[in-house]
Amino acid sequence: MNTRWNLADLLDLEYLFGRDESIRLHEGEQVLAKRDRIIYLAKIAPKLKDTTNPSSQGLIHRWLKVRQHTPAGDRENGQEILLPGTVWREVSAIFLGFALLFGFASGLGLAGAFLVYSGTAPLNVSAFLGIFVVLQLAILLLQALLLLLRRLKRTQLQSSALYALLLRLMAAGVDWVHTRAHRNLPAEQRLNFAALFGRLRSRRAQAPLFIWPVFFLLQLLAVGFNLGVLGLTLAKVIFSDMAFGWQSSLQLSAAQIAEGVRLVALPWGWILPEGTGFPSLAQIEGTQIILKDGIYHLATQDLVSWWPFLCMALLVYGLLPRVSLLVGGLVQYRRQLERLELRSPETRRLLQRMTTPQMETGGEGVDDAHLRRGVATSLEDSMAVTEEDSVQTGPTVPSIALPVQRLILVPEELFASTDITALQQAVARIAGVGESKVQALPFSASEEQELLTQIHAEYMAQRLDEICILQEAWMPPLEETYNLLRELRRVSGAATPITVVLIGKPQGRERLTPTLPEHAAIWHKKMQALADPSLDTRTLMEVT
Amino acid sequence: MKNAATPHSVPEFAIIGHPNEGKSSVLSTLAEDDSVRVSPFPGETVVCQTFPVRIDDREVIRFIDTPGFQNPRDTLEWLRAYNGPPEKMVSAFRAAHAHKPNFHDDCELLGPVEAGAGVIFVVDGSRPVRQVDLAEMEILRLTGAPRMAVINSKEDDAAYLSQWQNEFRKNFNSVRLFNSSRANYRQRIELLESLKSIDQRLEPVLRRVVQAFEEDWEQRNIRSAAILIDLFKGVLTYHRTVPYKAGEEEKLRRQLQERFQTHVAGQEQEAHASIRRLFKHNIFNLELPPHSILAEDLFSERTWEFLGLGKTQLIVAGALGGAALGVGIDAATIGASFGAASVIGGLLGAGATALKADDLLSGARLLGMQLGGEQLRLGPVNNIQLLYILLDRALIFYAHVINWAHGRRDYESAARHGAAGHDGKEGYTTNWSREERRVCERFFTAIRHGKELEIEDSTVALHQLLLEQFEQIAGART
Ligand SMILES: Nc1nc2c(ncn2[C@@H]2O[C@H](COP(=O)(O)OP(=O)(O)O)[C@@H](O)[C@H]2O)c(=O)[nH]1
Ligand SMILES: [Mg+2]
Repeated sequence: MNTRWNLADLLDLEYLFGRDESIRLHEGEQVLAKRDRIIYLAKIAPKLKDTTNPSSQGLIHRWLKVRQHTPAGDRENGQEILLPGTVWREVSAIFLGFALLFGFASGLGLAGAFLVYSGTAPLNVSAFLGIFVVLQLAILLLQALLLLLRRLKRTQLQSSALYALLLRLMAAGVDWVHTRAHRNLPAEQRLNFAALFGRLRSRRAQAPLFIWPVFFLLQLLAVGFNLGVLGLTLAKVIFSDMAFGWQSSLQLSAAQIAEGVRLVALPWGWILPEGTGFPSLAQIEGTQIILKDGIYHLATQDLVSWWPFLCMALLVYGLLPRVSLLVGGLVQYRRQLERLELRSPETRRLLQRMTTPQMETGGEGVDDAHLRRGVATSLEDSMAVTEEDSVQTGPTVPSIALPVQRLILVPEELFASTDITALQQAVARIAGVGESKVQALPFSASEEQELLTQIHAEYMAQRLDEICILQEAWMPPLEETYNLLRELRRVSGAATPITVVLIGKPQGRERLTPTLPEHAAIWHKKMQALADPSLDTRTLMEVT
Repeated sequence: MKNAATPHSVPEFAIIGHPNEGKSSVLSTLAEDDSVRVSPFPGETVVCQTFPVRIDDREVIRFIDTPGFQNPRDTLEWLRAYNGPPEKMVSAFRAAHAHKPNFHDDCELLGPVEAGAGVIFVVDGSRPVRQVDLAEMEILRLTGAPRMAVINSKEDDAAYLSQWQNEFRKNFNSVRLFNSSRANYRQRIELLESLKSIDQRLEPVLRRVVQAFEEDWEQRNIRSAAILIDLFKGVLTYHRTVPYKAGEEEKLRRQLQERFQTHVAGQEQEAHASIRRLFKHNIFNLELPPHSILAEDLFSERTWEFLGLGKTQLIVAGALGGAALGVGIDAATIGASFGAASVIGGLLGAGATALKADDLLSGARLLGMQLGGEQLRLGPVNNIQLLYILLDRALIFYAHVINWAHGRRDYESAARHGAAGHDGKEGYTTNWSREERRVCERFFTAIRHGKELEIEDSTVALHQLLLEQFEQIAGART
């Protein structure tokens, strides 16, 4: 089953992740872990009976559906919270409807202004075509051209001297602004900006999706416009007496015009033949306006022979392209949504929270068995668990978590003094169970290069699912750190999760200590600035 | 080398180190410049910035703030692989990396080194030594720059100090502990002294720098004492006479007293601000702790209490001298007021104990408020306690100002925790010896009686006393 996201869901997800982040900061990861495990066991797992290996996207989607119905969970005393997706849905519906209406109204207005027939002179066909068909076609063409231009290869453009110059100037300008801002902003703001841009850039897969609504809006506007023009023309023809004629300052003969008309009418000429779908030569001859002669010599039959042609031209050259763009856009958009894979540290953490059994951790701890038994009651009021939703204690809950092969890198200077087993356990606590191999991260560049080669080999042999790298949070991250992380990403593929695991200052012989929140915050932001959607930053130990 | 080029050249020192170790803070304290940008977020310093120290408008020494190392390992490996002429090494490195944005900071910080500046390597001594630190030390060693290490402990964890000192001994000519948020004048001088030892050629010029610093400090003290004495004279001789209107006495008294209080407060603020400027504080302002003596109104009961005089003591004082505490009566006025005066005097003298201390403290009775004929006269002050209050406040202010390191940026905590090294419960003057008090009394009396010679002499004595006090305060925390 393909999971199809929509923009409202994406917004909601982003919003709920934001809320969870603040819960995590204030109440600790454990609260979230418990909540999401409950959601999984109570609301998601029972429905997975038929699917043995649900996709991670599917799980996230189901989780989102549960959360959308109970956004506050059991806190915030059941108050209804307005989710951004709902707002988006409503606002975008209003906007789209408004675009259609506005287009329609302006079509009506413009056509109405044009089709004023006083009875003294017939309306000029070429002006009508010019305004309502040719102009629209020209706009379409222009758009297509722009699109093409954008698709043109960069290199082709860069060979142009003017373009190169422009690019230079722009780069210099950006540089100037950047250095100015860079120097004068306090480090804190600089860091916040970098983190924000990093977060945005790491969502670059989703960004194009948000262009589509604008595209749809424009198409609807055009569709509305064409409908308006078409509607008014038809109404005028039906309810009043319309006379169309043609005139030309160029010395065009009626035969030439007739040939042109026939060509234009080709698309519909086969259903509506000459005389009905478009005027015949005779009719065209009969509707030539010669100002000095007035219109009295023109036959009424001939004068009305033009309107089906005009309406068909509007339909075929105005309305149809827009409708097909709209439909084509929708298809494309749905396809992009279907292909969208949400990959971010947040989604990974969520999956892990849902699929990791809760372990008994002393007196106050919760374990899975407890959770399952308690789920029905604890969720009853907040999540309204229905009968068929209630929880099975049997082994039907599918485990999607295959044991991951994890590489934990420990800086060589810490390696000897670190308790490896304790480290493995602690990492498993935050990153989920797995087969973890602990290896020293050498300081020297050449040895580091060897390690990278080895990691790449393991990745290629599919013996590597995840990398964790231990860092001391009280040492600020350096360019060298970024460099290492970029290199790790390069050798381990775009999607392999890399987690920076932070520890605090040694306390006596103990290495695996909690970090200070301010140090962890700096690392978080610095890492976000790297704009790597599969790079996460975690603290190894919770402050107790 | 630039530093020793001519005997009168200005020595230059670059403060170098790992990001966020307190380089900018050390510089700020050392150069007494609170405009240096300091931040808990790494990467605040992006470009080198020179902070000259001027004494009497003459530049005596320059400190350069630099960004932190961003690629210590790769920099070191490059320098090790380098095999050109050693004196060109740093410039070769900078040229080779100038176009790499991720080496911007490393190139920037080595700029002053290339230009021949001395290096003050700053580390946070409250954390363990790491490989990057060793790499940074090695880089500096390879550059051959004259260098000293400064251990600035951001936290009170001394467990790693010996580890640092061991490493430093291998690489640095001189090592000093220097806490950027607590170091005072003496420690600054000591740091400058030890800079001498990093390069023999620097010695003569640094000797002059130290001398200039010491003279400057002395000058500041002398000027501070003069400012304070001016303040005392201004306040103690203050008096105002206004026409007396029957029935409005209360109102007039209140007005006079209020005016006096604003006057004193204003004068005092001005004097303190001048002292603050002398010690180059622009941001740090003595927002006095709300419960300290300094935050109290000059005439409030609280102030008196803080100075070690409880209510009972005040009452005793009141009983001892009705005139001193109470309203002085001008005998040369008309009979009616003569009678009134004796009534008031008697009341005060005999009945002081019966009055509440709060009443005694209200300004009208404290000051020499005189009712003379059609005149209502306030001042000059006839209670020496006011001098002691002013002295105490001035000394507390002084202690704050000289002990607040320029690199210390937790300005809010000053308000929370009160005066550094001072519990705020008692003033300095309470513990003064009899001789010291006599200096004050002499000054007070001389001012009141206005005898030129006596004023001159007693002023010199008080000035001397103040200088001694300053020195004691400065020495108390070394
Ligand atoms: N408590 C304390 N904090 C310090 C000390 N020195 C520096 N800091 C703090 O450490 C942070 C970094 O200082 P800064 O001078 O900007 O470091 P730089 O990056 O090396 O220039 C700032 O928040 C300072 O207030 C110190 O001696 N004690
Ligand atoms: Mg700095």
